[in-house]
Amino acid sequence: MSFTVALAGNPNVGKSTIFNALTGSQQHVGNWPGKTVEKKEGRLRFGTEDIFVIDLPGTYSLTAYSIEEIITRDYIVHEHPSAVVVVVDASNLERNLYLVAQIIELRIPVIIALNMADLATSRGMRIDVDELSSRLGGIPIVITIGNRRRGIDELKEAITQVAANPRDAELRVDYRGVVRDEILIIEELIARDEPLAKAYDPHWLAVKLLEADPGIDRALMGSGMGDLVTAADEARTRIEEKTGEEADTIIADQRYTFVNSVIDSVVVRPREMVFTGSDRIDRIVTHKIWGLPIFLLTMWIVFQFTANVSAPYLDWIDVFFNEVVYGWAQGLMVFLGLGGTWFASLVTDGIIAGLGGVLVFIPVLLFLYLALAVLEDSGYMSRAAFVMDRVMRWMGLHGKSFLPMIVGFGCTVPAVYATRTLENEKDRKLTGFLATFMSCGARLPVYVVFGAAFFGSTSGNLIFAMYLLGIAVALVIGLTLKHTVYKGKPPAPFVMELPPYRLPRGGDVWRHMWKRTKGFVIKAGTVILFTSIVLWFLMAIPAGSAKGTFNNVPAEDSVFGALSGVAAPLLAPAGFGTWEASGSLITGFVAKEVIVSTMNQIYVQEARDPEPVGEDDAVDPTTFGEDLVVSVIGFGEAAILTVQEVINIVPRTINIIPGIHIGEIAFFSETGDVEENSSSLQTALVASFSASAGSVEAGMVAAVAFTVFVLLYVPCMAAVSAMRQEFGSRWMWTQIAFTLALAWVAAVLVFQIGKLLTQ
Amino acid sequence: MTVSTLGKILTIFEEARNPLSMRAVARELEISPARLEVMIQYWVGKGRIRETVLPIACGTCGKNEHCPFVIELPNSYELTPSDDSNPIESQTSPCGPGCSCGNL
Repeated sequence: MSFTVALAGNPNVGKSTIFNALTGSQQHVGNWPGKTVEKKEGRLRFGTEDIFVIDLPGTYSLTAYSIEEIITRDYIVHEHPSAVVVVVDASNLERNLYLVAQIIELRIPVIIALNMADLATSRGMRIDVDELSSRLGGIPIVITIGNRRRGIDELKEAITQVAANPRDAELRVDYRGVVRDEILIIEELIARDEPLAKAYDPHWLAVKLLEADPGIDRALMGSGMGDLVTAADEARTRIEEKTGEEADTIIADQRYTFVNSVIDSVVVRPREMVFTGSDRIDRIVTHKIWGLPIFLLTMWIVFQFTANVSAPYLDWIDVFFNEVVYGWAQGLMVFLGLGGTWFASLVTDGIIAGLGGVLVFIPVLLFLYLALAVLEDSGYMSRAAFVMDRVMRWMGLHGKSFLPMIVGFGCTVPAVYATRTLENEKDRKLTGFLATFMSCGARLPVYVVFGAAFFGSTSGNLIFAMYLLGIAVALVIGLTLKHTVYKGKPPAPFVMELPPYRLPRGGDVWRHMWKRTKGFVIKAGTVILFTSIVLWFLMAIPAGSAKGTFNNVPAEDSVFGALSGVAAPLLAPAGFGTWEASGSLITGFVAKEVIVSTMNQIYVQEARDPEPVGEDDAVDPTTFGEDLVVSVIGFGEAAILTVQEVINIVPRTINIIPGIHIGEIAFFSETGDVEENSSSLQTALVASFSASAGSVEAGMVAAVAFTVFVLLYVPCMAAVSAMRQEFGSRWMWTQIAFTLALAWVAAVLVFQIGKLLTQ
Repeated sequence: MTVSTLGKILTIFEEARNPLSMRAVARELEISPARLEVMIQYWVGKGRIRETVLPIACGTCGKNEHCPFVIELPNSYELTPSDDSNPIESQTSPCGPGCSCGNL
C-alpha cells in the first residue's frame, strides 16, 4: 500500500532533520509549481508500506500573508494528503501551537512530532503529552529529537497507523460571542451547497471567509459563489461593528486565547523568578537617569579590564614575536643559505615585523571579546543598546539610527549596510555618516599601543576616552545636521526584546571570543600580510634622488619615506609631524590595524638598522631550547600578573570615587620603570613623539592627538567602498574630505590646548 | 472599544512615544514575553508591524556569514509606515534591490 504524508511546521523547528531522518537519501528537490520556494519530496519504506513524504515550506500560520503560507494551505486543502505530520518545537509551544490549531481546523488526520524535547527539558519545562493530545482532540503525539534520530521509528509507526485508519481531528477552536454566531450562519450557508461542503470543511471555510482570505474569496467568486462572499462580507461588517476591530484580528485573538489555555494546562515551567529578577534589575540599569552612568561605568570597567589584564601577555607575546620568532626566522634564513639577502629581510623586517606587530594584540582582543561576550550572554548588551537609543533620541536622531551605530563599534562596513533598515534616504546617509565615528574594533590596537607606551597602567582611560569621544562627536554632528540640513519627522518608537538576565554560559562566551579572534587573525593573514609585503618593497626601493640601492636604503629615503614625508609637515601642528606618523596614517586607510603594523615595520627596522653589527659586538645566539624555556617562563609570569590585574580591577574601580584610595596588590616587586616594561615599538614611539612634539610631556599630548586623529579620520578602504555602494561617489568623497578636515582640526586642538595645559 | 489582546498590542505600538521593552509591554498586558512575541508576529504577518533585521553579514571578508565583530542585538519591532504595509510586498531582504553584499 502506498500513501502520501505532508510535513508541516514553523521555520527552524527541525523539520528538515525529521524529513531527512524519514526519507534518507531517497529525496528529490525542486520548486513548487510557478514559485521560487523549494519543494522537497522523498520516499519512505516502512514494513510493507510505501510512503511518499512531502516537505511543506516552514510557516507560522495558514493565513494568506506569505507565499509559504499559501503553498502549505493550498497543498493540504487541494491535494488531500493521507496525514499531515506537524513538527513542533517543544521548547516554544506558544509559537508552534497556533499553526497546529489552524491545521487541525482543516479536519484532516494530523500527527504531532514533538521535536526538540531535550531542549525543552533543559530549559526546565515539563510537558504533559497525554493531556496535550487530549486537549488537541486526541491526535497522536510522538516525542522526537530529530538531530539524534530519536523517536523516528515511533513516528513512522504512527504515520502508518494513521494512514491505515484515518480519523479526522475532532478539535474545534472555542470561538465565542459574535464570532461564533457569524461562523454558524456562514457554515449553514455553505452546508446548503452540497458540492462545496464536500470539497471543503464548512466550519473551516466559514472561518476563512470571515478572515477575508483573498485566495478563498477569489476561488469562490470564480466559481460563481459571489453570494457567499457577500454574505461573509456582511458578517464581517457585523463583527466589526460589535467589536470595533477587524474580524480576522478577533478570530486570531480567540485562537491565541485557545492556544494559551491549552499551554497553561499542559506545560509546567520553572518558577518565574527569572522574569521578576530581570525586571528588578531592569528598573535600575535601564533607568532614565541611572541607565547612562551605569552603561559608562560598565564600559570603563571593560576597557580597564582589557588594557590591564592583557598587558602582561602583550609584553610576553611582543618578546615572543619580535625577538624569539624573529630570531628563529633569521636562523632559518641562514640555514637555507639566504642570510643577508633581500628575501631574508622581506621575511623578517616585512612579514614578521608587520604581521607580528598586529598579532601581538591577540591577547588584548581576546580579553576585550571575553568582556563583551560576558555582557552579551548575560543580557546586559541589549539593555546598553536600549539606553544608548534613549540618548540618541534625546539628541533628536532617528530612533533606528542607534542600531547601525552600535554595529559600528564592531566594524564600520556592516554598520553602513545596516543603514538599510532606515527608509528615508536622508536618515540613511546621516546614520552611515555618523556610524563611522563609532570606534571600530580595528582602531583598538592603536589605542592600546599608544596607551601602553605613554600611560602605562592607566591606558584603559585613553581607550575609554576614545570610545566616548567617538560617540560625542557623532552626537554633536548628528544634532547639528538634524536641526539644519536634516530637519524631519520625530523618531518613531519601537519595542525591543530584552532577554532575561542569566549567568553567562562558558560555551557561548567561548564561541563569541573565538569567532571574533578568528576574524581578526584571518584579517591579519590576508589584508595586513599583503600590506606588510607591499610596504616592505616600498621601504626597500630608494626614492628618485636618494642614495642607496634596493634593500639598502634608510627608510626615510625610500619611496615610502619620501611619500610620507610630503604629508608630514601638515601634521606638525598636531605634534606628530614625522614621516613615520604620516606614513602609518596613510597605510591605515587599508585597515586601521595596519597603522600599528606599519609603525612596527618602520620603528623596529630603524632600531635594528642603525649600525652594522661587528664581529666583536655579536651577541651569543640563543638555542631553540633556551628560547622555549624563556618563553614558557615568560608566559607563566604573565599568567600570574593577569591574576594580579584582575584582582586590582576592584580597587581601581572604587578609587574613581573622589576621596577614596584603596591600595593595589603587586605579586612582583616593581623595580623596573616604564621604559624597561615597554616593548621596542612602545619605546620607539615615546622617543619619536617626544622629539617631534618638543618634550616628553608634549609627546604624551601628541600621542593623544594622534589617537584622536585615528578615531576621526577617513574610515578604512572597505568602509569607504561600502559608502560608495550605498550612498554614491559624491557622498563618499564628501565624507572623506570632512573626516580628514575634522580629524586634523581635532588633533591640532588637542595638541595645542594640551601643550598649553602641560607647560 | 478595543477588547482583544492583539488590538491592545497594536494600540501600544501606535501610541508609544518612547522605545519600549518587550518585557514592559508584556507586563502591561499581563502575558509572558514569549506569548507577546508570538502575537506581535501576527501583526508582522499582516504588515502592520515590522521586525528590524540588521544586515550584519557585510560580505567584505569574502564570506556570506554573520560579521563576527558585530555585537548580537535582540529583535526589535516598530509600526510599519502606512505606505509600506503590503505584507507580501514588504517581505523583502533588508539589503534592498541591487545589493551585492551577499546577504540576500
